[in-house]
Amino acid sequence: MRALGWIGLIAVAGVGLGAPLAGPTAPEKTLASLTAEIEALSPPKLTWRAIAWRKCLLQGLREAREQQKPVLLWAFINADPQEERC
Amino acid sequence: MFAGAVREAVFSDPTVIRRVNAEFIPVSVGAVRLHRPPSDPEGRVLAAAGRSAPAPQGLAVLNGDGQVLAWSLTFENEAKVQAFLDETRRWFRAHPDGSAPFATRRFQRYPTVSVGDLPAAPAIRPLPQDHEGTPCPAERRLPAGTLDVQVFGRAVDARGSLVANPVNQEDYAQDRFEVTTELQVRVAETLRGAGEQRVRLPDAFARQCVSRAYLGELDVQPLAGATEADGKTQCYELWATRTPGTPDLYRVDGVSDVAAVPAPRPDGAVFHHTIRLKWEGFLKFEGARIQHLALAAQGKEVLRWTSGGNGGEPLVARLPAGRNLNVNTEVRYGFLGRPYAGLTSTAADPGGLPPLHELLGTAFLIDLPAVQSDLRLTPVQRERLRPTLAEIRGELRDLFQGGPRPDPGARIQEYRPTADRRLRNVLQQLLTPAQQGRLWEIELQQQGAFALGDPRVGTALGLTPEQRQQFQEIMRRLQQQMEAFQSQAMATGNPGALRQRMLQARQELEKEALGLLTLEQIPIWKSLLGKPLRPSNQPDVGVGGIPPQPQRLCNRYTAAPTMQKDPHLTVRVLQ
Repeated sequence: MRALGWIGLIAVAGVGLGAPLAGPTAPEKTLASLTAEIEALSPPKLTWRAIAWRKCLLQGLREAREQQKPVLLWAFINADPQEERC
Repeated sequence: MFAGAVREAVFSDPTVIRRVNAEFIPVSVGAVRLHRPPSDPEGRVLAAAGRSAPAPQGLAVLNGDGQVLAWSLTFENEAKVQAFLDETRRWFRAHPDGSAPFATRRFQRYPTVSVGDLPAAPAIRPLPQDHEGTPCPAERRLPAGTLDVQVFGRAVDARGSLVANPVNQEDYAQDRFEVTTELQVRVAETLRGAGEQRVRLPDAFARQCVSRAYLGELDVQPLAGATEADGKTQCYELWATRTPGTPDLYRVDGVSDVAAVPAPRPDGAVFHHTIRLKWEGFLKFEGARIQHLALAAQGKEVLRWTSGGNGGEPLVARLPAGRNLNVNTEVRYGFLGRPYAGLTSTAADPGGLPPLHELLGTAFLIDLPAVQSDLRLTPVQRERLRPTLAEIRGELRDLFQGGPRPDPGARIQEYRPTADRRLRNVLQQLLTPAQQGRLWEIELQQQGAFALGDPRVGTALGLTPEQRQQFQEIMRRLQQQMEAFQSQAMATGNPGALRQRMLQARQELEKEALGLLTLEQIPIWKSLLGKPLRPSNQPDVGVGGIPPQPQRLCNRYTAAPTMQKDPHLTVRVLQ
């Protein structure tokens, strides 16, 4: 039984013994693959992107009058709360 | 910190998001556009709204005529954000338009800390409906050929995965920046000159990328105005090698090591930031223009930021100070750049940035087409000047956007001597002696009587010690008056009225300074000013503070005349 145990161990280890010392080389990146990798850094959903900020106050006021709603005005050093660091 | 905290604490709450989209018309305008409105139809409405602002930044609710119903900077707690939405809707129902007078409610912290109501500005009649055929200034406009670069930064969790469902900017940072056509040409020339050899990319290009690779809010910027004296160190190298078989495609590699460890601040705030990254990527060219930029970086980032304690208050109650940050994480960054495909602008209308001379001093008058024409700059001189101005403009834009100090005015003041020195070094090499002399005359025309403090002017005029002392006294009074105006502006929230009074005060003191000159000195002063510069379509109306009033070099920012003579002061007023 002990021999069988050793055989089993060697069999398991054999998987590794036959493998190269270093892992398989990752395929070289291309412009397309790196672009896809970078795009994946952007989360598919961001809560703060869900607000439909208008950039033009005149447009906002037109809509406000048409829809009988008040304008909520974001007035911060950063003008674009959806695309830029703030 | 302020805007980032508002986005994270107020506008990431699902209930607030739902209500804002359903019950309000959300509009975002930059604080600069609100307080220095463009001279167009929208600018009139923005100016009226900005006059009631209790601080340079904040949230407001307006009725359909553009009148401000309420301002608030912070909220007692999260529930009071909802209450603010409820109450402003009630005020809106009572005053949906400007048919009856009402008061603008103004809160430092809603609803408990008021900064005093003001009578709402009268409705503008007729209210502008649109921009009368011109593009809205809020639309992003860049010169044709500009590379538009998006930035993505993401923290990595303990399992090696990207942090899921990020909200805060220490988990996920997103930004954008532009690479000018001039810088693209420099990169292209560098690569072309290297042939098949690996070559180091221009520092200006590398810096643009490295300076955007950080987590946290806009104010954190570890490389903004970086100097070793500020405890900031930087080391970055991006290299490129032409890929075999594809002559327009270059493989990029590099490293960056950035550290910002300034001395402790008197207010107890702590700022410590280190970022070490390894870079890889590609640059694809078409001629001298980058058609596709893909850069990735990964490494380690440590960021500690405290704003001097929070006393256990909820974030919505201390939005200007923002959140304390304590980050120690693996990070990944990505940069994707494509030629800008939106509305284009011209060099004379760069899309939102004030003229350089208004912020950085009179040497930057050389950026104005009227001055370049007057100096008869050759096409070669103009071409050689352009990259320096473009780089400085880019750095200035960064300073406007943020940095570790809360006061952009102070950052710009710190930056001025560096920018001035850089430009003057270039001008010394570039301009002929005659052109340099003429530029100085134009600078004196712009500075008016306050140029009497220039040692060269003092020598030329033969100012006596007594005259110099009297001039210093005038300058001291000017400084005192300007500081008093600033305090008043902060208290009243009415920078528009302030600008006019500042201008008057300046003009009076300028007259007083000219009055110091003797009858013999006045002709010398006039001769120093030279021939008046005549900007396009403007009559010749006199120079140097001698009536008739000197022609000031300005364009659409004429409405803020103090900006032209005291950039630091005006920028501070905007904050």
